[in-house]
Amino acid sequence: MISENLHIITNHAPLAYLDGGSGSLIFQMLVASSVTAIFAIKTRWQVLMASVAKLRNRNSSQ
Amino acid sequence: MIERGRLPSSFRDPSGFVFEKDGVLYRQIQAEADNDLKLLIESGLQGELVQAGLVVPFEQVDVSLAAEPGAAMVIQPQRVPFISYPYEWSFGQLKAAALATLEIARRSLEKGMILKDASAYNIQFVGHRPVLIDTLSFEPYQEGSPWNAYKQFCQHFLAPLALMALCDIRLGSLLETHIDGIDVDLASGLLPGKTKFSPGLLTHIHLHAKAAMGTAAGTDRKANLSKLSLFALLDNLKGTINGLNWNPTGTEWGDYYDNTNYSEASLQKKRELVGQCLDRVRESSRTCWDLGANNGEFSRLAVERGLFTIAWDIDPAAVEQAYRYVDKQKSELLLPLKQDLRNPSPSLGWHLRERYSLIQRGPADVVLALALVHHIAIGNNTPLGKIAEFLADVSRQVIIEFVPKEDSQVQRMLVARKDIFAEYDEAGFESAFATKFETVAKLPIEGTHRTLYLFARRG
Repeated sequence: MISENLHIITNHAPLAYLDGGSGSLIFQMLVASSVTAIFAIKTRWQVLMASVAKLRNRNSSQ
Repeated sequence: MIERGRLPSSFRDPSGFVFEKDGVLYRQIQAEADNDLKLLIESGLQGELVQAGLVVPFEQVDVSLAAEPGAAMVIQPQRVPFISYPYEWSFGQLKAAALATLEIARRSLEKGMILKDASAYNIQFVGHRPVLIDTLSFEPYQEGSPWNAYKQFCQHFLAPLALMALCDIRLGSLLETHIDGIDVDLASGLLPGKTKFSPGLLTHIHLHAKAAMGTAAGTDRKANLSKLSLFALLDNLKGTINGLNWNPTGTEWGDYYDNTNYSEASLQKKRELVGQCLDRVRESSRTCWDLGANNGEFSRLAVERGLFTIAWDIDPAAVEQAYRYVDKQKSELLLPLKQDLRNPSPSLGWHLRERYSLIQRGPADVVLALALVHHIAIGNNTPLGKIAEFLADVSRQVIIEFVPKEDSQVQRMLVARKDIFAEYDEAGFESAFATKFETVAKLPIEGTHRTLYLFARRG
């Protein structure tokens, strides 16, 4: 099972000097994928809020 | 000619190593890592991280300085003032080091690189500021690849921080016996059940522990982890780390200055006398160790005189308070660290040479040992002669306070035990220290039974 898991990882990851742990690497991919949507929404929201704040500042300084 | 060669702790990563030549620190970059370093420089990442104070700056020097064959490049990194270890850091220091590591990882990813390791030993403190000292921790990011250092990050930072914040602050000392970090399955077993309701800890500790045991199912297909997902992972880890907090109270010495037997006037007198002693040694001193520093109150007197000072204390709350002060002041001259002088940091790691002992990292030009000796002599049954021997190993000059049996603090220590300390008096103290030190000054502290001494090591 571990060697199957490793096959997924080694399609992309160079073999590193540090043992990342096959279970940890697989798990990381699952976790990272699952938090991506929330992160994407959060960062876009932050960009939007920053733009609104910039616009407000510009209007108030005029 | 002084040549020390490769540092004994620098052997894990084949892409290079740190060595010392004639008192100067260098890093040899092997041919296989040459391109990684070039990318680090040419991408602007190194410059950006130096600007942000997150990594040590370095200069490229002549490759002929290489210590061993195979060098593509030799660099001279800026030396950090003192090497400390994660098991000596307070909660806040470990947390700051964790957040710095994640920030470096995030900025690297933005520049097309990735941190290939996330060892807490790669971070050192320049006063309040955690900096990455391992210039070879960067490699080009390959689209689709996961973060190989994820497990190491959880072991070195997340697991100990969670245990310190949510079980017991003293569990930070587990890092001394687990120098490659605390395994997530161990952390998962020790953490209280309620932590399973914290999404971050449930994910990165509890579920990670199950996955790390090899129970995660896999299929033979090409899996991709997008760069966005890696950013998301780093952000999620940052949120989890930020959610861990600890209030530095409730420990034995955390409120020391609220419980001292000094009046405000005599405390002020003591400050003046310590200041006078420091003035006498400042010309010949650059470093100061304040042993039993508590929250660093007296360490600041050394800092005010331009000495790089380490405020050592056994109490995690006192060290945390000192670190918060240093962080607020943005001081680069004061470094608070944990240390149990009854059992000081030993040599650790492979061949007992990877991590230096406390004594190997000395001696300091001047040591402050204020209101300390009675705790070791009476609290730890340590003869005065042995205390003098230890101090002679770690210092060239000592500013030391003798607290006699007439003092209420010592009387309190003797209330519940037999007084077996016949030699514990001023004459016994002076005689014990005379074997190793010359007395430069002897100053009674007005309004107390205590005396301050300035000793200079013999020989």
